[in-house]
Amino acid sequence: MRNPSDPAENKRTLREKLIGLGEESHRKSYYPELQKRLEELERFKAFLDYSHDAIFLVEVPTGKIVDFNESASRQTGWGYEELLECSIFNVFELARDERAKALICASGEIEKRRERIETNLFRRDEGPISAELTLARMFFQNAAYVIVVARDISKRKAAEEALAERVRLAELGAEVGAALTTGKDLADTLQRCAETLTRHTQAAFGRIWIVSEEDPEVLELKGSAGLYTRTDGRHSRKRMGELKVGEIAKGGKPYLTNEIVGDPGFSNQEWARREGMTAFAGYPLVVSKRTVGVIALFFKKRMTEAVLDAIASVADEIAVGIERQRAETALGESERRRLRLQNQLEFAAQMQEKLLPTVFPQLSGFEIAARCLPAYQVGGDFYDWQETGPGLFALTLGDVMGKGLAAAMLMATVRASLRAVSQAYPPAEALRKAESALRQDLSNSESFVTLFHAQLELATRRLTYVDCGHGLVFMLRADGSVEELLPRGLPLGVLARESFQEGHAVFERGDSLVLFSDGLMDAMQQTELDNESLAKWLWAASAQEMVDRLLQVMPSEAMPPDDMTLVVVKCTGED
Amino acid sequence: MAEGLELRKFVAPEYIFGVDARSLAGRYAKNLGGHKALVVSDPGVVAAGWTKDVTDSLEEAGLPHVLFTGVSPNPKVQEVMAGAELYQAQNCNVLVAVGGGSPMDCAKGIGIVSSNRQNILDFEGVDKVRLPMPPLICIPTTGGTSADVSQFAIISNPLEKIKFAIISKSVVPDLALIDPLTLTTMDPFLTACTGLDALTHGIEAFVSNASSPMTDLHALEAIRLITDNLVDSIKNPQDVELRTRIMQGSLQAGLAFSNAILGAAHAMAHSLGGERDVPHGECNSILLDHVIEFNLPASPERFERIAQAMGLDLRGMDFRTKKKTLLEKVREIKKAAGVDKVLKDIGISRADVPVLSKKALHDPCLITNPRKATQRDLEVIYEESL
Repeated sequence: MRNPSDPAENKRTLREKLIGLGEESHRKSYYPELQKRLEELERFKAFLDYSHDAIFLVEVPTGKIVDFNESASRQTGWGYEELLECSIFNVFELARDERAKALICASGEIEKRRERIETNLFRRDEGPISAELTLARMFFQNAAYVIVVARDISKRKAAEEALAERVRLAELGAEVGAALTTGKDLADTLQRCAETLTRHTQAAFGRIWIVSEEDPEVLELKGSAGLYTRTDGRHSRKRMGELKVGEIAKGGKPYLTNEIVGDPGFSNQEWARREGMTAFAGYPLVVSKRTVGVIALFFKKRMTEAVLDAIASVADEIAVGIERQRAETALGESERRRLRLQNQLEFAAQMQEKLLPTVFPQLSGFEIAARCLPAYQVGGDFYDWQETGPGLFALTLGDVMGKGLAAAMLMATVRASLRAVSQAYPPAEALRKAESALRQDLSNSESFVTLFHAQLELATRRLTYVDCGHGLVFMLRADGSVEELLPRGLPLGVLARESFQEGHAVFERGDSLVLFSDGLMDAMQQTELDNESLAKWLWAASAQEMVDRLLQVMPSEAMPPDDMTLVVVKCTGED
Repeated sequence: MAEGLELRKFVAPEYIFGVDARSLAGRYAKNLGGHKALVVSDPGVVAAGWTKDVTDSLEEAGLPHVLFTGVSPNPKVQEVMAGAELYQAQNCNVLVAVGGGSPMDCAKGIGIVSSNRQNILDFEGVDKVRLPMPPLICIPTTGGTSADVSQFAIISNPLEKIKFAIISKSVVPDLALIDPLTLTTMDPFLTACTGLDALTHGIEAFVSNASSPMTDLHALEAIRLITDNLVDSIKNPQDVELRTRIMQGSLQAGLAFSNAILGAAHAMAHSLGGERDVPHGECNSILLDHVIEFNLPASPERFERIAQAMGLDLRGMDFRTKKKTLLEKVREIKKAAGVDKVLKDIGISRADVPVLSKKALHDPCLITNPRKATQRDLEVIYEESL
């Protein structure tokens, strides 16, 4: 046997070692190594304990928990000793999971040794939470075990659910908006709102009541979706204050609960228990502090804040929608009436137009042009002419106070009366006759009429006229001078015992009679025109040109502010 | 430094001595934390039935076990490695050795290889074992090697034709179950070889330059017990009382040499054993008287006490006569025991002497030899032993 050590090794040192006095010459002791291994184990255990995941070592095939980390105790809420007396089936909802049972409860060789399962973790004092489990079968010193690593995924689940909920609730807003704008009528709109509310809030069923238009003490069911879809059943009408919906409508305040069972506000407890109804959300539909309806939703699970917020926000939207639909319905009614009236007015306008002379008479030595523009379809202005005898020609321009249909009707009456009497009488007499015939009508309508009525004798070119408060007339002489026509009297209908005084004027060649209603007067005031400046503008034109030019004085609007009528009679001197 | 003032250490394992101690193997293996035991034994011991007694005890304690009997009389490197492989493959965690020095040394080797995950060759030398080996229970069935209480493990490396020593307090077994009954199946030659080995242990430990009062006590008592009982024990193999005394002597010799270490006889015997596959006890026996003769001048008073322990009365004798008387006594015992070969008888010639001497010169046992020996000194002793 040779010396096994380094040849340089000092014999003395070797001797020390041999007789047990060397530095390493100690008896076998596991302690240093044990300590080292224990430290490693401690470190490993700390590493396991600090893991967020709960880790269990489970005995096969009993399912008994034989070891676990700190997180397991923390997450389950079970104490150390308690957990050691538990089966893994007490801690996780695995009793009906065939994969877990195959792994944990089957002794001997198994085919699949690893599973990933999502299930619930039962906590000691609180409700279950979602957990993701990884189960792995392993052997340790000839015994089979399953390692269960559980991760709390409740937050992730909640986040996923919250996200899904947000998506649903965003869709809810959009769909309610669509229902409100495209619903065929209020019932269709509210049925669609009820459907989308029920679907997106995952309610068991949802209903929308509105306050009856006929009887504000009654709620009518207009939309119902989910478990119950009839709107004409037992619950179709509720009185204010009746049941929860009636209370909400009456009080104008929402009612929310996550515990229907045991809530004295719900009379039908038996039904709630049987159907598993858990939560209720009822919101009044309020517009300008006025309740127009109620939304009511029943749930089989607890409602979240997000759901409540979403319902509250669409409740406002639906309330405004109901109000708008109703207003639109009402507006439709008045629009129809207006259309009817419009038709009548148009008919009247056509009638009135027919009343106005459409053909200008061919008078020897004279030309006549006229135009009547009513401010509305019908107006109070009129002009008229007629041949009252051989070589005799009657001319009238009237303006009934007021506008529109009433004025037009009065105008027609005045025209008819004057037409009748002017056949037989000269102007003053004709007006007296007409005034006495019209007095009652004018009095009843509290209206009056300004009027210029004249008779032209073609042979003498002499014009005999009566001005009943009109005044908007002048004679434009051929030399361009302006001559007012006097005297003037009071309008017809003004209660005054006054004789109608006639005035006279004679046309020379080139002279023109310019007659207009106050519509032009208003326009002249706006443009600061007077008779003189108007005359300069009209001078030397033909009758028709004058009418056209006068029309240009008007502001270019489709509708004149007042009726406007123009009549020009020009003496051409030609036969 | 004066005797008794130098630092000395005494290491002994827990041991249980007595008839039927072997049947406690199961209880103790379990107490030491055993789940599964590797039982290291050899075919001879198995045939004698002692191995079964031990495995029965393990089974009784409910401890599973694996039996490893691939051990030859001088355990080889590859046998140790094969045993370690079996130990690991079978997930064993406790070692039980049943047999003579070979199975016990092999079990020590298996233990340190398993815990350190190194080749057995790496542990050659003193204090080379880093990690403690698994619990080891030794049940010796020969009365000589004392591997059950010693810090030695001797392994053969047939490739280099050497036996190397692994010396570490760390390979002292956890428990020795020393049952004298196991000696009853030894044949006379084995009884003689192991007995003379134990006697050599006692003598070398007593004259070692690292001896101490505690080792002296055991060494002298060992010398006395073996001298008085070995020959009778060989003649009456079934006499349990005689066997018990031999076993007691062997144990005490072991306690002495494990702490005081040995001397030139062992250094030279190890060298011989590497060269020729000859029983270790026989090698010691051949060399013993020649080594005593060489060492005597270095420590005459110690040898005188040995002579007293062997029952000699040297009073009034001069040095030469004392020496002659002692050597005669040793040779007489060898002869009576039936181990009186010389080196030639085991195939050693003069030509082998330089190689043997060179190897022996580097054996750690030579360090504690009372007289400093040069290679030439060793060559002379070998030559005288031819």
